[in-house]
Amino acid sequence: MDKALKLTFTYYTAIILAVSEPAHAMHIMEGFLPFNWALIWIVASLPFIVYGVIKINRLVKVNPRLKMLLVLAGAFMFVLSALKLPSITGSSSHPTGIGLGGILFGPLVMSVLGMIVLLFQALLLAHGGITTIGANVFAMGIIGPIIVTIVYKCAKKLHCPLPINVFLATFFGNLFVYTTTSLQLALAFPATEGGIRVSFLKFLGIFGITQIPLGISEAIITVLIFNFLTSYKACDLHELRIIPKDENKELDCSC
Amino acid sequence: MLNIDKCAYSNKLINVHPMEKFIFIIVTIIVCLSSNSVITPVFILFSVSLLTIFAARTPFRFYIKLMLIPFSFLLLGVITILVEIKISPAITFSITPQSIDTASKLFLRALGSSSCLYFFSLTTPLIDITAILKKTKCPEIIIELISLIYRLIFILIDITGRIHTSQSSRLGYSSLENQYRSLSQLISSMFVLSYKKAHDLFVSLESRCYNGNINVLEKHYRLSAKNIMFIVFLECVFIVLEFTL
Repeated sequence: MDKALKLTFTYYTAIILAVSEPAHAMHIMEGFLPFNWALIWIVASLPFIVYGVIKINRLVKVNPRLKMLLVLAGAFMFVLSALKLPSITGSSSHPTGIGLGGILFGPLVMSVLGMIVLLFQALLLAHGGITTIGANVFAMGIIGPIIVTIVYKCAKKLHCPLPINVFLATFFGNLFVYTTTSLQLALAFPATEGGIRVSFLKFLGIFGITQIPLGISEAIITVLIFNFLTSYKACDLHELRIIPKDENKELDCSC
Repeated sequence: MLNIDKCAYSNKLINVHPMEKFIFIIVTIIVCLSSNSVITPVFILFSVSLLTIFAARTPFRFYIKLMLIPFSFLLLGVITILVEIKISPAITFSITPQSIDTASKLFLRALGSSSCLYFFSLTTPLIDITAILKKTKCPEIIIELISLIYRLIFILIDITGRIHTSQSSRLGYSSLENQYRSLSQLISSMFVLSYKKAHDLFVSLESRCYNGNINVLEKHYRLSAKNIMFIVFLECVFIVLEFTL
C-alpha cells in the first residue's frame, strides 16, 4: 500500500470511530455471525426461553399481578440501556442492566425478558440484530444473570455487606457476558494459526479495553442505585426478591 | 428519542403488508449471510438502502447515522479478524491475504444484513410486528409482554428525559462524581416510577375486565401481487448474482 492510501485509510477510520457511537454493551451486530452460528446460538438459548415461558405462565396463573412486574422489568431494562454511563475513558456507553436485573428479578425471568428487551433494542435502537439475537440472548439473558445470581448468593452466604455484594455480582456478570461474547465470536472466526484459542484471546484483548472499565463503571452505578433504593423503597425490593420463591404470596403494593 | 419508531409510522411503505416485508428481509438476510462472494452483499446493501431511502422515504442523513451506530463494533471486530497474531517464536502481527478475504467479506455481509434489519425496523411499526408474531404461533405471554412493555417504554422515556433535564439544569452532570450520583439517582427513581406506572397500568386494565389478552382491531392489509412479484424477482437476482460471480 502506498503512503497516501494508507493515510486516507487511517483518516477515514479515525473519522468513523469519532462519529459513530463507541462500543455498546457488546451486542453482536446484525450479520456479524455466519448463518450456521446464528442458528446454533438460537437453538442453544431456546430451551432456556421455553422453560422461562412455561415457568412464567405458571407463576402468572397463580398471581396475575406478576405480569405487571414483568412488564415493569422489561420496560425498565430497555430504558436503562438507552441511558449513557458516565465515562472514565472518554467514550460514551450504555449500562446493560444485567447486574440490576439479575439481582432484582432472577435468571429465570431474565431469559425471556432479555430476549424481549434485545428484540426492542435491535428494532428501536439499532443495537444488536435479529439473526444474532440467539447469541446475544445466550450471553446477556442467560449466562450474565446466572453468574450474577451465583455471585450474589455466594457473597450473601459469606456475609458480605450489600454494596460489596452488588458490586461483585454486577462486575462478574458483565465480565462473563463479555467473555461469552468473545468466545462466541472466536468460535465463529477461529484464527488461521492457533485456531479458536488465539482468536478468543484476540477478541478478549481488543474488547477488554472498553468492556472492563465499563464493567467497573456499571458496578459502581448499580451499588449507588441499590443504596438509593434500599434507603427509600426497601419494601418494594423485598417484594421483588420474594417473587421467584413464594408463588402464592399476594403482593401488597400499598407501600 | 426513538426516531426509528417515528420513522416506522411515517414512512411511505406503511401500507404494505407486514408479512411481505418480513419474508423479504428474512430471505434477503439468509442469502446475504450464506453468501460467499463480495458482490452479493454489496448489491444487497445498495438495493435495500435504495428501497429504504427512496421507496420508504427515510431521511438520508438519519439513515447514514443509523448505519454508523454499529460501526465501532464492526470495525473492532473486523480489525481483530484482519490482524493475525503469532505468539511463538516471537510475537508478530501480520495481515495475510486469507485474513483480508475473511475480514472484507464479513464486513460487507454485516453491512448488507444490517441494511435489511433497518429496512424492516424503519418501515414496520411494532404493532405490526406483534401481528406477525401472532401468526407465527409465538406464545401468547410473550406477545402480551411485548405489547405492554412497548406501551410503558414511552411513558418511562418521557419521565426519564424530564428528570435528566432538570438534573442537568442544576449542574447534575458537571463533574464525574456528580455524573455517577445523578445517574444512579435517576435510575433508582426511574425504577420506582416505573413500578408505580406499571401498577397503574395494571389497575386500569383490570378495571376494564382484563383477563390476560388485549384484543385490539388490527389494521387490515392486502397482499399485493405486484409486491410479491417484485420480492421474488429481487431475491432471484440476489441468488443468481451469488452463483454466477
